[in-house]
Amino acid sequence: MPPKIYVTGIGIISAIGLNVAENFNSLKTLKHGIGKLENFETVHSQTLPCGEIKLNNSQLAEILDISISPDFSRTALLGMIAAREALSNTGLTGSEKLNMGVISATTVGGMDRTEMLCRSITHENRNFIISHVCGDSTEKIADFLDITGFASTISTACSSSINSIMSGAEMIKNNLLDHVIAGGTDTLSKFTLNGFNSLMILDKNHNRPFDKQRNGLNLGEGAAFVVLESEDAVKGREDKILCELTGYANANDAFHQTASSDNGEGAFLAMSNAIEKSSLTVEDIDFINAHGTGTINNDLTEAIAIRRLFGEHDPLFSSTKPFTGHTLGAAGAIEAVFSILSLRNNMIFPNLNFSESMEEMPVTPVTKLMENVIIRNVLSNSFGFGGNDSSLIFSAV
Amino acid sequence: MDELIKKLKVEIIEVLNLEDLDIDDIDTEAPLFNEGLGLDSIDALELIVLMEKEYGIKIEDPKKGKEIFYSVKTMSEFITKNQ
Amino acid sequence: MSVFINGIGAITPQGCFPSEDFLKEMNVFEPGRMSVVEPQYSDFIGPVPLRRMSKIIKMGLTSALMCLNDAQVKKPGAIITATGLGSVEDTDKFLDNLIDDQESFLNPTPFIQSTHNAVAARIAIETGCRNYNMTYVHKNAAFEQALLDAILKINSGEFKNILLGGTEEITEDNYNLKKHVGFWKENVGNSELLKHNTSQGTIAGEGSVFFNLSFEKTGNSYAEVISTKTWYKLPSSLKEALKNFLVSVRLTTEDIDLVLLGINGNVEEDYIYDSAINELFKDTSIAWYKHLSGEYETSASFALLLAARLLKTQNIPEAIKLSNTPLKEVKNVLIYQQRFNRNHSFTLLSKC
Repeated sequence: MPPKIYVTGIGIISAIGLNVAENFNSLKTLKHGIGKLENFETVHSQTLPCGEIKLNNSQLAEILDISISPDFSRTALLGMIAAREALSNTGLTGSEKLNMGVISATTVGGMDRTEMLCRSITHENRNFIISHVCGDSTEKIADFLDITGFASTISTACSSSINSIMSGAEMIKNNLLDHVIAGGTDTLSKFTLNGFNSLMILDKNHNRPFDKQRNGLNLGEGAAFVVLESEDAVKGREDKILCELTGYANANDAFHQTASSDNGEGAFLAMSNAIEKSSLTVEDIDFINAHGTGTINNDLTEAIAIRRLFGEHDPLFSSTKPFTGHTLGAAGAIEAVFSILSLRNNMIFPNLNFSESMEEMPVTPVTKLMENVIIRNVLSNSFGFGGNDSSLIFSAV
Repeated sequence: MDELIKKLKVEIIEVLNLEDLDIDDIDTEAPLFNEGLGLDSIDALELIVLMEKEYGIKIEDPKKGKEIFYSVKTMSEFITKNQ
Repeated sequence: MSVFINGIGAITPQGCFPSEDFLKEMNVFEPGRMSVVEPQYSDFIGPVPLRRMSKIIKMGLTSALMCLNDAQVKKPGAIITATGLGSVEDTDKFLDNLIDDQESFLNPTPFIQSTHNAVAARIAIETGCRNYNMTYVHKNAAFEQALLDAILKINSGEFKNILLGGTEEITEDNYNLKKHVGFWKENVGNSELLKHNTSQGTIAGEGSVFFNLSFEKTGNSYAEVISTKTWYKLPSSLKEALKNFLVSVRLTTEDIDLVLLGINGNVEEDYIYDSAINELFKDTSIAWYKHLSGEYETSASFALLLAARLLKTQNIPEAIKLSNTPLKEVKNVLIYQQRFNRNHSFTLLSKC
């Protein structure tokens, strides 16, 4: 029997809150974080709404109680905040840290600094060149939390941080690590904002996943981490267990660099393989935290894949991206934390802005906050460019 | 060949990196997408950028691209109409 | 926990592999970047997809196809790649346009291709592989972490064979950017690298090396990968870490016939290797590879190619030898590399 994987800590920072409690409160009170960009200089600040964290880098550094330096990308700062929170809940202290690893994910890396400084390099700021790479923010997190043994980084576009959580689980299952801080972080940048804009998939209004009139996504920024531990590792600290990670899978659509195949094959495979791995059945899935970006293509193909897999057992589902925006490399982990909050509190957070079903696949997400819902198993999806499709399943203990 | 049609063919070859082709290889009225040159949705986006950059015509809805970019002929007609 | 290397495909500054001529003689480069010797990509990729591809995607896809051909495998069971920077050319292009055109008239193609998993995605499309597809990007540990993932997946029985690769490209812009942080010995060519090992900096390289890994040995098998491990920071001493790694595979330092080190001529990094050689491998044959591949994040994939090939042929290229220790038979090769005393990565291979 493969060992069980437990989640003992969660941490998050997003446009709807600086920690788990604030995020949870915003979700419950339907307070979203999408609006005009304030901290960020771009020609699109008034026209492309985003899920921005309304703190500048100095303020983020204050939260961390460190002095700001050009070596720290915003990606690193956000990651450090969320990872610290996740670890702080676990009751773990320094001596265990030796067989602990951090596995993070990002798509932006230090590009937020690079795009600002690459044409005006000085002696003082030049270390942004070193912090540009994806692995840098992971090492900043590891150093901040005094983790020395294992540090790894994954980058697979929008599915990145489900994949880092999966990788953490595999390390534990194979007895290579006892505890893993796994998740992801991404900041807003001109690079990604203009990149998605060049693909014409950004909504000039608030995103509306699965709606007939949906017109694209809003970008967001943030970070989230979960602490995974083996059964043996949590002995004596069982009160810290939040839930179990019972299933996960990654598959590839192998169709196109950005668009999903018409029948959502990659998404279908990711979800069905995750369910199979968990030894659950489709009937056992009480709720799906959908990828639901609000783009014409994703929402239709995701709905088709869900219908193909669940058939008659139309599960409850919603997308939380109208709250936070699409946080790219952090999305998988942010939505994992939201899934765990659903599970722990028997609550389903609504899919905001939905009013009319898509014609081609008329599905209806949860549109009002649902409380006192028995949720035993949550499936969370993240589907990325390059057809990289991943799903996680968290179960109540 | 009409001057605009000629110009468009040169630009299409350049913007879409169709290095092996020259303007005589592109049939003015043949479909550009799926059959014909076998272009895809990313190429359509590149052509939208071309329209704005070269001809000052902004296409807001990418779905309209299907009709406008059907062939070199429809592209030139669109430009003539909107300039 | 071991797997067999049953196929290799590579595009490197020393030429392409498989090839009889590979490393018959070392390619010597002028000071500056070491660039790959490119094959005729159109022999491998059709004109319609090829037109859009940047160098790293051409390199990655082509070397992957060469590898599958070498292994006589049509469709990989899964695809796992490693890269430190992803597509630098596309990233630079999009960023330059973004800045120069003040965020207008931006072409989507370079943005799409700038994602780190673009190579893995392209291979999936080309081979129709819908299974597990992953990309590791953690600096100089990325390749070994991808290798570890492949080993775990094969040993779990989930996949019969896995395509694993490390790719990296260096562009003029990126090279110039790194000059500012003293990365390079700008006036030293690869054949002179060790003569200048008392100064800062190394030499830039690039490459794409793919492996077909399986639990089954075949007639084409190069070597057996026994184990791999990365340490972000060493727990105590390098000596202890290496000893523990060998103990985990039931070996001692005496069992290692050849040590392949990531020496790169940078005085700020190479001292770490001195302690390894002096304390543990005094009597072992020592070799190095970064003067052949250049320094890049996933250059350990080049090292794995060298190690696998020499285990199969039992022929050690002159170009890689550092010590004069005579060798009879090479049974076990240890690869060790690190950067600035971080991300220490060990890989052990054996003759099969």
